[in-house]
Amino acid sequence: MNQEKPNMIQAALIGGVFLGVASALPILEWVNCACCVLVIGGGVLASYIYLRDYPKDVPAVTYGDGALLGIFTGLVGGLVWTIVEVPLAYLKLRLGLGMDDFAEIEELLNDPSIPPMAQELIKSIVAGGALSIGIIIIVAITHLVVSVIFACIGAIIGVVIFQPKAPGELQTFVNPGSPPPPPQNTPPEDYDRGDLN
Amino acid sequence: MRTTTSWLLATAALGWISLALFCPFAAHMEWTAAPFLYSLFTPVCHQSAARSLCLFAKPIAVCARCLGLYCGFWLGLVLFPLMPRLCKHLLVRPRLILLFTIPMCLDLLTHNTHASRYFSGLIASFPVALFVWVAAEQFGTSLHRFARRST
Repeated sequence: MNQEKPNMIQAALIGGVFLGVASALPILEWVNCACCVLVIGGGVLASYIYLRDYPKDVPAVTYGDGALLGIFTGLVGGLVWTIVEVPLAYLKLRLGLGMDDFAEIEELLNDPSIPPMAQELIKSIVAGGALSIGIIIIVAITHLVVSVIFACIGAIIGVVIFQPKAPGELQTFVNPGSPPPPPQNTPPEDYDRGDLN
Repeated sequence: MRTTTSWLLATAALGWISLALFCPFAAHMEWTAAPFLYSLFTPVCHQSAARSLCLFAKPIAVCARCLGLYCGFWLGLVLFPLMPRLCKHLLVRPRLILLFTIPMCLDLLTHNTHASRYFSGLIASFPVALFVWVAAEQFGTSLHRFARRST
């Protein structure tokens, strides 16, 4: 049996690009308000692509593989999301759209209850408008964190749904840290003896 | 069997929920950080006040359904180690988790309330916690093996 699992980069790239572009596009981005469904969908899509042509002569895919695939997908997606969103935000500003956020910030800066130090910090962040380095870094970090967490969960759900057979590495759950048993279609024998306790 | 991984995941999930619950408190106290704390949850939820539960007369940072999803996930991480039979059943038939999403799908299609949104979300995410836990265990084992091989 071939022990090398297929490369997951292609699936992660496709899932990540879908996640990033869909989350950044105006109007479509609002779908993410439904419990981050586009980000989770990116992870599920990556799993589907990875498992679609999964060879039969290699060890069965595990949920851990799904997690790794989700992390890659989330990293790609977070980057693409930022790369697509920044020029779009700049374009929106040029067209005079989305000015409500800036009105809120201006209100915040005029609030006397806010300490001067905090006001200076806010001013320095927004000094460059939508394209200031501060805002881009904050947006990129937020996108990366959200993408990695939710795409990871999405990819694991994808493995649950699209795996061709039950994963053989249940033993790692029963006794974490032990070497995994060879892949099989059914749970290990000792699984029935209540070893989970 | 509770493991370090399950504890870590449960702690992280509880931290995330606590942050969402802390936002209305910060807003109630009129702290400067409150709008920034709320904005952390903007990419993951619509934050509509009409669809969110309130604390201190201020909306929680995520809607009732999202709060239910997070709480269900945390509850799964806490309870699955105590329910080996259910773990086994779900691991053998993983696609059963789709059944847990039926209440949420029905709730989306019918007239819903704060309670129905919260509890349908809670039920939907409960079994996902098991698979995330298993994935984290397997991922940790793979990393451990990789580190041992490279030394």
